[in-house]
Amino acid sequence: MSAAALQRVVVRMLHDPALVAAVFGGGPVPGVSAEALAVLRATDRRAYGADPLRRSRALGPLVEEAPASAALAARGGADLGALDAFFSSPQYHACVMARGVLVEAFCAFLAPRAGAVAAVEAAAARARRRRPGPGPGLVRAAGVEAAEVPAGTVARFAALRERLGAAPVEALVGGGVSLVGLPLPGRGVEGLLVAGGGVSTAAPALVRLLAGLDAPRPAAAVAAGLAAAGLDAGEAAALLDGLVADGLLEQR
Amino acid sequence: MSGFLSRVGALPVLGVGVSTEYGAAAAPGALDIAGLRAVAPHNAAFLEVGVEVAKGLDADARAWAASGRPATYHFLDLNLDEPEDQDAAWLDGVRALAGALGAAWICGDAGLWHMGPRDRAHMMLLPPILEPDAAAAMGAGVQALRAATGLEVLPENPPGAVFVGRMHLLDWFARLCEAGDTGMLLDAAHLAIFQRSRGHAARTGLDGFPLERVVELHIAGGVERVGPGGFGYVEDTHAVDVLPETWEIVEAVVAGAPNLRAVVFECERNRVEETLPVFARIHALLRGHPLLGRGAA
Repeated sequence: MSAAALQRVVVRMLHDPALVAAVFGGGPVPGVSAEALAVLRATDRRAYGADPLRRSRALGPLVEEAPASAALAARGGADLGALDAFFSSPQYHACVMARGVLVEAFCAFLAPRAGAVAAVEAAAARARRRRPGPGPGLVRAAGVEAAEVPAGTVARFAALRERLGAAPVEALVGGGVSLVGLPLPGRGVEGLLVAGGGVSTAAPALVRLLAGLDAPRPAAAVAAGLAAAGLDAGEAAALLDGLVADGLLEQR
Repeated sequence: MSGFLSRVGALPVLGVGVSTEYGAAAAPGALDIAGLRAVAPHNAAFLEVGVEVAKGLDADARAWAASGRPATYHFLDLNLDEPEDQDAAWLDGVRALAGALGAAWICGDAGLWHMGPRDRAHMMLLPPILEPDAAAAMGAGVQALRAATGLEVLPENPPGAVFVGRMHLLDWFARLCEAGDTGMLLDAAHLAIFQRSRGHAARTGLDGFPLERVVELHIAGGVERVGPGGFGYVEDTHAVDVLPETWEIVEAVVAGAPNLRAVVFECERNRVEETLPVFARIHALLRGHPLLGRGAA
């Protein structure tokens, strides 16, 4: 096991007492070599719990970035332990080992309790970090994400986000946030567009077009795809020009 | 003589200085660096500025830079062992920061500054894994950053509650210095923390360490804590109460480090008058060392 991989196990141990117990339990631990286990067992087990506030500190920025999902998963603040449990979850451990983005793993962890609102905040998180890869052609611009979500999800997200206000962590920790009367998702799907730091609905066809341009593609190929969907050449060119002008696509 | 030991002679002698981080000088109870310079300029001959590239320089750091006084740049957001961490945007930022400061060199803890990609929610600081392959990877990172910036890069031994790996920290850093063809910033307080955590005496490992590699020395106070389960450890508080083991390490390093060019007393959260006795002891220990003879005041 490389030192880099061992370092990631240490990170996980510092956040998850269950993993510490497994390491020091004497048996094998999935994903950790016998040699690495021997190295870890030579340390003082108590050291991994020396900072009892580590999880809380690590949780803060995650909740700040996914506050609506956190509010739903924590029942408006009544069950904050549901958020803290992230650090003992398979999503957390897999994310650390894969050098992933924690907030995306956090949204995936919250999804069973937060529903599609977690998909909205996961898309927003991806948009903030998006740096399109190199190459010529048309590509979805930095800061832009698109996805399909159950109809009504964006309205539900927006209503909850408004209730959380400008200091969502404080709102959740102190007093709680009412979840009563929030719009509910309906049947069918709607397009979700994240652009310019904001979240809105969009036509599903547009969302599919943008989602398909994660990596650069030749403009002619994109136009051909639009023609196959029924647009004539002039309409396709005008649509793509408009998306570039709006900052949703980047033409290289 | 080749490599770093042939280059170190070109590095400036900075003397005794202090350090700051973004926004630190504006915090309640912060060290008044201008006030310190007013009463004892030889205690603030240079400023070590520690910032994340994403934050940039605060007003106090910019004012120091504008004064033209000596400075060093301390990174707070680089995993030296991860080549992908030295991306073009980050390197552009580092070059801009170091250039604005007129930094004499770059330094920073050779540890884990963030898990996964550099991200606000990922920041932390853990010691390196004390195994040979980690030293080799960090050495490559030192060489890459030096090539990208044109400045010497001095890795620092980080603090920690747990040190994982089979090597002694000083043996590991000797290997890193060799792999990176570089010198180092030895933090005496952090080393004292390591020695305690392993049950070693303060000077264990120093006899075999290439002290000619030590260019910068950090001194800071620490507080003994007892955590859950009765786990005893030292918190690196940067207070003025310097542990006896830290002083013992400082004495040994000063006596054997001919290329020492800078000493920082990390005291950014203390009043000037509280720091003066510590500075006096530092100057007494450095008496006769070339660092004081040629240092800027």
